[in-house]
Amino acid sequence: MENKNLLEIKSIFFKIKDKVILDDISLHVESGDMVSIIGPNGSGKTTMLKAISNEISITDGEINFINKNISDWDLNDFANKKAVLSQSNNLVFPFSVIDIVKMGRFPLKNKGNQIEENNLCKKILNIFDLDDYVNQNYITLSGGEKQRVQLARVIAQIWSDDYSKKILILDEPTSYLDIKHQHLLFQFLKELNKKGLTIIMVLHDLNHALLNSNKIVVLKDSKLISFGETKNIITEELIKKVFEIDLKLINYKGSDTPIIF
Amino acid sequence: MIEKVKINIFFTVMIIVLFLLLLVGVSYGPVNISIYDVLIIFLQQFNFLSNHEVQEINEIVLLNIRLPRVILGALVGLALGTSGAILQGLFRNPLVDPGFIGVSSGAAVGAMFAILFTQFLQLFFWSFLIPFILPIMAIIGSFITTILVYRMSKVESKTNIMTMLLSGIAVNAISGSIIGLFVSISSDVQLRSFTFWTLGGLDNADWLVVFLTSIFVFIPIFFVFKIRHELDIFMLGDSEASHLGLDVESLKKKIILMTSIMVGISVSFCGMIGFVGLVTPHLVRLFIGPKHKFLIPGSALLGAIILSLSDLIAKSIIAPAQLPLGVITSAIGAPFFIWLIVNQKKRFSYGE
Repeated sequence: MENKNLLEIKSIFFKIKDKVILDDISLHVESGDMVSIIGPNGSGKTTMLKAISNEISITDGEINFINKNISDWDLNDFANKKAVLSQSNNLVFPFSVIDIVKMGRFPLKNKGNQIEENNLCKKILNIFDLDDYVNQNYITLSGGEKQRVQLARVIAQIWSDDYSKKILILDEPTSYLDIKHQHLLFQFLKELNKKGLTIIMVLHDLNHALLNSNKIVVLKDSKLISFGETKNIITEELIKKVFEIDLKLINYKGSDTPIIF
Repeated sequence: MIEKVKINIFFTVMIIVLFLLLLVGVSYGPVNISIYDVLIIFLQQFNFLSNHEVQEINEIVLLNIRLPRVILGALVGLALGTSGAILQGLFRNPLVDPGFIGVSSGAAVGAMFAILFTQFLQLFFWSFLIPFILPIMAIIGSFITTILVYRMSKVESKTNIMTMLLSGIAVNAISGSIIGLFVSISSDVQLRSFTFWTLGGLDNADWLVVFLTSIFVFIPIFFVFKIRHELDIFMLGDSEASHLGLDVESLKKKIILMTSIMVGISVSFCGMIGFVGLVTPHLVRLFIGPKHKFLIPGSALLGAIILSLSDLIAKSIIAPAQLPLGVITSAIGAPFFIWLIVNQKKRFSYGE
């Protein structure tokens, strides 16, 4: 079996009662890919991420991560290989921002000393422009600030020297973020991707998807419409077919990735 | 740094206050024993002093009546404070109290069942387990009700406040009707001990009770403290916690089991004492934050303080008679609960 496939999804189905939410989807993600999943509301994007992160058990099919079925992974080993940012937010108790980021380090068995860990968490908070919030109560933060704290926690979980066999799963990472922090986020994600980290994310903004991923998964009505290299698959016809609106693709100032407007 | 100082001060003050309350608790009562005499009696017990004249009656009252009562009060406070803290964690909801959600009344049903059917139950237990029948039945009762309410009130990964309280009302009503049934078929002697359960008190205290209670209180507290980091992670939400490698379902079972043991043992010897489990973790979070590393010992200590203080008030307010302990804790706790509701109106309206 070829080893460059970090994640293999083989004809998976997910049903709730009679409603089909994922309908026969197959694709593979290679180590070092940066994949965006796009599609209209209710097309199954979030469910797909939940299936990949083993949060739901699929009705049929198979998902392998590093050549091993994801349901066979030990919970803690899996947590050392993948980090997941979901859309939910359940925290009701007044934890401080730094405490939450430190929780991201929970799966690690051999942590460095406390000072190192503390410095690492502060460094990550700095990346997300949260220097002034280190000891602040999470509950009192705004939506965008909370989102950045959760991102920082997820990054703390995945942080290591070797990203080659690790995967970062993000469900709408830009939600609540202003344009500056969206920009900072993608800059940082690309940096991690260059170091070898594989990233899969659901994005709503098509331009974000075009500019920040080498492969794109297009879902509609629970089915896989298209999957492949970003440059090859995004066409005006595809966008019309999937999103049912007319949009133009243009290449801005000789850049080879088109943008949509 | 400032945080650490704050936490150190908190725990130092808590320990001193608890110690003073225990001391006052043993000295105050229908027969007053001066604190000086109390100290003399203790020192004599440990052979540090001899030839000191203390009335023998005082010594008997202190060692056989007051001391077990005061210790039992503190133990029950430890149990209720801790179980309140982890139950609020389980429900991810700061408005949970073992009383509201039916855990206590479930324990009461179990305990009453044990009393009514003592002879019958004795057939099933080995003889050395007979003193344990009452607490074990209470623990089973609270275990069943906790699981029931938790299952009923869970919506996705959060528990909905409304469904939780409604499930609590339903479970309390069922327990209430069973208690009513038990009362109507019980003998006079049994009846007297039943009324005690609904109001709560420390009158059952003797050294055997203290011994049993301390086993069923310290083991769960120790265990709960051991899983403090897991409890913190669990606060993030079910799916977030499992993405961090935590076995969420097994943690929930541990919380439910430990709560049932602590509440069950408290109810079986001291009846239903409301609001301590609600108020305590709240105040502790206010002072030293929500991390379980501090929240668990903090809630345990403050629970013991609140209970000891309540018992002192119960003993003194209409002395030489005494009020049921549950009356005092409710009188303190209910206004606090009202304050909480008013303060949290905003959270109630967040689409819940």
